Amino acid sequence: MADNFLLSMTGISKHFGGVQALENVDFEVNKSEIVSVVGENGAGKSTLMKVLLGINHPDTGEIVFKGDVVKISAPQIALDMGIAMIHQEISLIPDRTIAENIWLGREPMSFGFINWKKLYENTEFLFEKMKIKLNPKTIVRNLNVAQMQMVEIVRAISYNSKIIIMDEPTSALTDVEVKQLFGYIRDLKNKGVSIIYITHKLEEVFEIAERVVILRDGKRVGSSVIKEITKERLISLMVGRELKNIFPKEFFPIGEVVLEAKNLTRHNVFKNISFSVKSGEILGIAGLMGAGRTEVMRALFAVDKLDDGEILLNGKKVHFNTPKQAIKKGFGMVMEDRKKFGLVSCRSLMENISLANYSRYNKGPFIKRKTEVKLCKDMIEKVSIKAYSYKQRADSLSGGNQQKVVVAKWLMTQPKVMILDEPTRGIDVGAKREIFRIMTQLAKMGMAIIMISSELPEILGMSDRIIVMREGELCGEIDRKNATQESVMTLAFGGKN
Amino acid sequence: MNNRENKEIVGNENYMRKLSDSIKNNFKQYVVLFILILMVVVLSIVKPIFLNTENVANVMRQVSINMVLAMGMTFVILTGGIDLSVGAIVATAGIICGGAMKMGMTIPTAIILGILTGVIFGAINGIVIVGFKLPPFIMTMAMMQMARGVGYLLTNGNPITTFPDAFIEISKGGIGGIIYYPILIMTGVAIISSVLLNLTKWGRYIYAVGGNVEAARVSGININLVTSLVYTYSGLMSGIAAVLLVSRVNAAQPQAGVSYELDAIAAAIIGGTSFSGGIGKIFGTVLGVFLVGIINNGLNLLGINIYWQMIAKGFVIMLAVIIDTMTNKKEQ
Repeated sequence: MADNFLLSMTGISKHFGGVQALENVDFEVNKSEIVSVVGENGAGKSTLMKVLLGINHPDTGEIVFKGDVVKISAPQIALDMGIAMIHQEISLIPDRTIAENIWLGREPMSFGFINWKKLYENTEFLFEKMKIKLNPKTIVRNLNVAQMQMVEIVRAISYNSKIIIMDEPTSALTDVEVKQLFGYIRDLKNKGVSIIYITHKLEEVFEIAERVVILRDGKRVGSSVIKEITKERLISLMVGRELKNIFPKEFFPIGEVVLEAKNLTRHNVFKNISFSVKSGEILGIAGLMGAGRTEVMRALFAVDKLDDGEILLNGKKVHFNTPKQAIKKGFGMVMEDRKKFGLVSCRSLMENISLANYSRYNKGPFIKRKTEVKLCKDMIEKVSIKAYSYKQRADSLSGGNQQKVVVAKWLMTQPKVMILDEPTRGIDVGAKREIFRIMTQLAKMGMAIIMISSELPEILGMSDRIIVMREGELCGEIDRKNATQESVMTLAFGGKN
Repeated sequence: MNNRENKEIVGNENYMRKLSDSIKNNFKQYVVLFILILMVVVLSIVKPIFLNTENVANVMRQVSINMVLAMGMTFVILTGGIDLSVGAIVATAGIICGGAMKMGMTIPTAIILGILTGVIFGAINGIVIVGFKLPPFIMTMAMMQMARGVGYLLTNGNPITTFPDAFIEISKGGIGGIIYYPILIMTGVAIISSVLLNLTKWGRYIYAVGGNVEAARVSGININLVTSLVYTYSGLMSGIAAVLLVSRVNAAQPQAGVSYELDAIAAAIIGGTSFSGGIGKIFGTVLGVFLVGIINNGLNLLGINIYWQMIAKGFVIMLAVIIDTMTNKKEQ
């Protein structure tokens, strides 16, 4: 069987630390086939592609390409074999020409110098073959995003690629540009190139793909010719896992509305987002990556500018220009990217926990050392950070404990509204449970909590109410009682509820 | 499985880890201290005159200006920035101070004017850097030109000389003939700097801004204020250094203080201040200042010519940065 495929990967497993990213996954691609790989965030799609590209090395498994067993140990080897990837982010050098970008590092040379004439001729030859109407001498900065994507594709082709992997290629494209891109993809297929198309947008899967492979929790859970599967079936395959009960959710009466957001808008990012959170309530925000959830919360916390909309805190209108003002009014936000926005890694636990609190506990310019140490020690105990000293550098802690440091920092500000953006990303199950336990305690004390999570079980397990976002808009609200994985996912993927 | 075993080992060796952490965190300072002691021992054996009270006091006086400048530089580098305008500001602040005396102002007024000049230049550095998001390297390089230009304009390129004895006394005088005023001034400045960094909010914010500016902003810190004040502080230090310099050489001249910024940067870096910001201590910089000073003094005593001294200083800076990158790599 295997030798009928252009590429077949069998029994691929890969783990990172304690996390099994891929478990015994099979994957195959025919010649001139457009195959789509779908799955939730963290299902293992990118890891599988990274194995194919030689970026990650599998623990076990075999890759057969054109009938030969191959070992792809580095990205260069994958390229030489004819496997190229077009990443979600554009990776072109904006101030160089199209042709220079395509042949970067492989410029045709004569006598030790770049042969510019040949460089442009080669590019024009490729453009003709692909029926692309662009001047190879155009500076990349002056292209639109779709055209940049085309340049990326041409670059991939220029390696004589047999397989081109595309990761969410349409995320920055307009509808017209998407049509254009799909045209190119079909052209490629007709020229004998295979495409692996990775996307969250199921409509695209049904429009462009011939076959779909579904991953869930690092395992392959299904595969089908596209004509023989329905959208509903696809979603249920993607999410159909059992809820493990790691959620220490407790129920108690929920209080008054604390925060009300009305028509929050940031141009071209999100629009008309309205929601409210009550005291003691955990509001879950679900959605796919890039749905705009983080962006809404960042704007609410005045990290980014809000173009329009109102924020009411305890019924009173508030407006913030800086995070400092938001903190003063009783907001706290555990940001998504711990390394970038949460921790000052090179400083101590104590300095990190105190960071948002110096003005609160010290009236003048000086710091009361004793108070600081005492407050921090209490906090370390309260959120049970495993450390041998409050003087320990933050980056010497495990991911879970680092996250607890960030949580502790915000707890100390005694916020009325706590925003947690992906609070459990990259931490182990034990630490996750701890974070949930803290959340429950806070809710019990009357805090209003907003949690963004891309892991559905978390959203379902912890939230009292769930709102779902898609492509910068609010697309639904579900009560805890009525929430199921399917109902949330259907909304997130843009189906009718 | 492996994880669990690790945890147990960590539990048992808490004390050892604390110790090794302390050594790791202060590794650079320990190395500098060791080299410093080694040099003192070797020099006092080879040239016993090195440990004479006279010579010790002399070394102290020589390093005082760099000590003051290096304090400001440490603050700046801690935020991840750099201040190249230090030497030029020293020259121009000195001219204002000296000129004021020549115009008949009292010594205290002249001193205050000189220091104020440094503060103003420093504040301009800070405001433009945060206001227009200029890289500190570029802004302070531009300021290096502008400040020195102002100095030349004011003096037409000529030195201002011969000041009142009471003013000369600032660098020549002292308590008991040994504890010179410059030594007292640099000690005071170092203690104040250390207090500012360790015991005030501003100090903590400086470390946070240098360690992770985004996290600092999100935690409600006015990063623009923290950063601009740091350059103002460096300007203040330049103003103080200017007064010391004018008093010592009994002249204020526009070409004074050339490359003083390099010695200050060298002292901070040798003392373990991380060039990327967020890590560093005043104590380290103090060690760095003495190391640079002793290299100069020791090689002088040994009769080694000035060109070799330059090579030696450069080599030590290179070594310090190599240690810095190597220890940082280990931590990752």
